[in-house]
This record gives sequence, structure tokens and C-alpha cells, in this order.
Amino acid sequence: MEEENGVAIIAYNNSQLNYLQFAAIASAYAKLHMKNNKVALITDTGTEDWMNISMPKEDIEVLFDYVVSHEIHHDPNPRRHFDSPWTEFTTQFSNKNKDGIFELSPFEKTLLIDSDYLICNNFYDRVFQTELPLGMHRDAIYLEGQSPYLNEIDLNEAGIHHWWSTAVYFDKSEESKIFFGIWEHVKENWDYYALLYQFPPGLFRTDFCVSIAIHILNGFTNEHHVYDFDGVPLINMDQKDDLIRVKDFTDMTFLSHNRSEPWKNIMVRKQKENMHIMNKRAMARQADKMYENLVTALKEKQ
Amino acid sequence: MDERLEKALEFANYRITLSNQKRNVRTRMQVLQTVHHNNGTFIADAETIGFVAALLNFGKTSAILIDTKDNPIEIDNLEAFRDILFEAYAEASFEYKTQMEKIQRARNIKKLMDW
Repeated sequence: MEEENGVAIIAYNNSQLNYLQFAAIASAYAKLHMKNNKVALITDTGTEDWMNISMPKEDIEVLFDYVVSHEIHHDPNPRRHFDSPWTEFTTQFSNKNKDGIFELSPFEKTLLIDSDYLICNNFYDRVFQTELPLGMHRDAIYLEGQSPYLNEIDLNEAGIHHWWSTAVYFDKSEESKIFFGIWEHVKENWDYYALLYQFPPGLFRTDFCVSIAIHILNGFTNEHHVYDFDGVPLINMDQKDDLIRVKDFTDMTFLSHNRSEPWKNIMVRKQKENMHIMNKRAMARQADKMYENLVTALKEKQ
Repeated sequence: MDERLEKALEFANYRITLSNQKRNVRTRMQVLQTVHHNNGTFIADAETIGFVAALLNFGKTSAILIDTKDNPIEIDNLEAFRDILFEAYAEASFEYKTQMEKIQRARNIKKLMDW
């Protein structure tokens, strides 16, 4: 049987953010722009119930090839989000079982993406053609090419390099299994690793888990034997930026705030670039229209 | 606000936006120029294409090339590899030219954003 490759997206709804809708949008983007475009939704039973109530069956069929649903207890992990520099809100951030994707993914080769990561080109198809066991972004830039914040470059001032878990490519090899095993181990001993690697333990972050796992996998050095997607950086939209227009799916216009003078904004247009939409409320404002247009486009494509 | 100052600020915003858009297009071109071959990563730029062409000119049909991660990669069919590099270069440079022309024609932010 031919091996099946695809994209996995984890979505657990909470009282404030409809991650399921984000996952549906992210799935449609992957399906429209990638060849390896089977999509598996990893979710919990509550979110699945909501999906069956809120989404037409034909939409679910066109958006998700697999729905892997499981009972899970989400430990409290409150996260402060921004929507522009002037508005903030706190909500549950359910990310603690991301390491379980190694077992949950139905694919031989998987690209795990966050539900707020929109794939606008076929860049990630390349890695599926290789024998590489693992891939992650080592670097990121923001909309105007700005460097990430300091704790997104290194875990602390004298610490190890920060890697991004927004897009994680892996196969079912022994090396990948070891990587996810270390990730799980870091999760289970979070306070110890926070002390050892000197970062605040308050918020559980999977970026930190993968950074530590890679550091350990690299023999406790900052070398990068793990594939870093050719050094291509992840493109982040800051939580304090806004998404103001989405045209033809891959043409997005943002308002990029100035970090030192946050009342100033510059318009930035991104075309055919994979985008990490970190301002969830900004995405939510566009989500209904995006969802409708994307589902229509997918149905026409079929 | 003084009209001159307002215009100056507007122009400053236009310059920043223009420079951001140019950088975006350059970044996109770099991504399109990346080529994977035999588990190696190469950039389809003038240097790589020129080197492969030089090897072919010397009658070589295969060679070991050092990729962007400093790994030695065996290329068993240099001619096919040259064609792959050409294709990536052509696609990337076409996209670059098309996008840059659009940007250069836009004389204000509205046009830059196609608003």
C-alpha cells in the first residue's frame, strides 16, 4: 500500500476562541496550496460534538480526511493574548498533548501545523520528498522583517536557541520517536526544566519543549542537526498587529504596529507567503468570510 | 497639522511600506530559488548554475557538490541537475520581476496595497 502523507491540525475549543473554525480555515489553505494535502483534525470529544452541530456534514467531509477525537482533560494553562497594543484578554491555552501527535497522526509523514498557521504556497511539499526525520523552523521574523522578541531568539539571555513548534514535520522513524519522547519528558518535568534552562514556568509553551528536545537531541549543543526548513524563517504576525484584508486567499494586508511607538502602524501586504496569524481575534474577525470562501473554493476544486 | 509635515509623514510611510514590500519580494524569491536534490539543499543562483555549467563544459557528467549546509552531495546526472536549477531560477526570477514591476509602478500606499 502506498504510504499516506498529510497535514495534522490540533484544535481544542475554549470559551473564547473557536479553534475548530481556525483549523477548518488552516485545513482549506493546506488543501488548496499543497500536494500532500490530506488533513487530519486532532480534537477532543467536546469540540467534535460542537463540530457536528455547527458545521454542515459536507463541509466536514471536504475539510477533514480524518477526525481523530479523544477524551482529554485539559490542565489549566491561562494565556494572555493581545488584540492590538490596547486590548488584551486571557484564555485557556490547551497545548499540553501536542507531543502525542506522534501516536495520533494517521500519516507516515506528517506536517503538524498550528490552527493559526495559513499555508499559502507549496514550500512544505519539498520536505515530504526527503528522508529527513524531523523539521522545524529555527528562526522567525515579523511582518516588516523585524527580529523576534528576545525570549523567542534564546530561552534566556545566556540560554539555548529557541525553535518554533508552529510547523513540525516528522516521519515515523526511531529518531522522531525519540524526539517526541523527550518532548513528553520535558512536559512531565516542566518545573525542573524551567529551572535548568532558566525560563519562567508560568505558561506551558511547546516552543520551549521542542527547543529543549532539540538541544538534548543535538548532544546538548546549539548545533542544528534537526532540519530547519533550509533556514527559511517562520513569518509571524504579532498579536498586536491586525489583519485587515484577505483577498484571493493568499493576498493578505496587515497593520503592523511599531514596537517602540505602538500607536503607529504601517500597512504590510503579504502574498503567497505562509503566515502565522498570532492575533487570534484578528483572525476571528475575518474567519466567517474566509471560511465561506474557502469551503466554496474547495468544493469547486473537487 | 502643518500641510508640509502631513505630506512628509505620508511620504515617510510610503517609503517604509515600499521598502517592506521590496524585502518581502526578495525573501519570496530566495525561497523559490531553493532546490532539494539527493537530500542536499542548493540555491539556484548564478554561482551554482555557473559552476554546474562549467563542470559540464569540462565533460563531467557527475560530481560531488557541497550544498548550503556544507554537506557533500553526489550528483550523478549533472545535466538533469542543471535543468532543475534553471527551472527554479527561471520561476523565481520571473516572479521577482513581475512583483518588482508592480511595486515600482505603485506611487502611493493605496496602489502598493492594491486597495
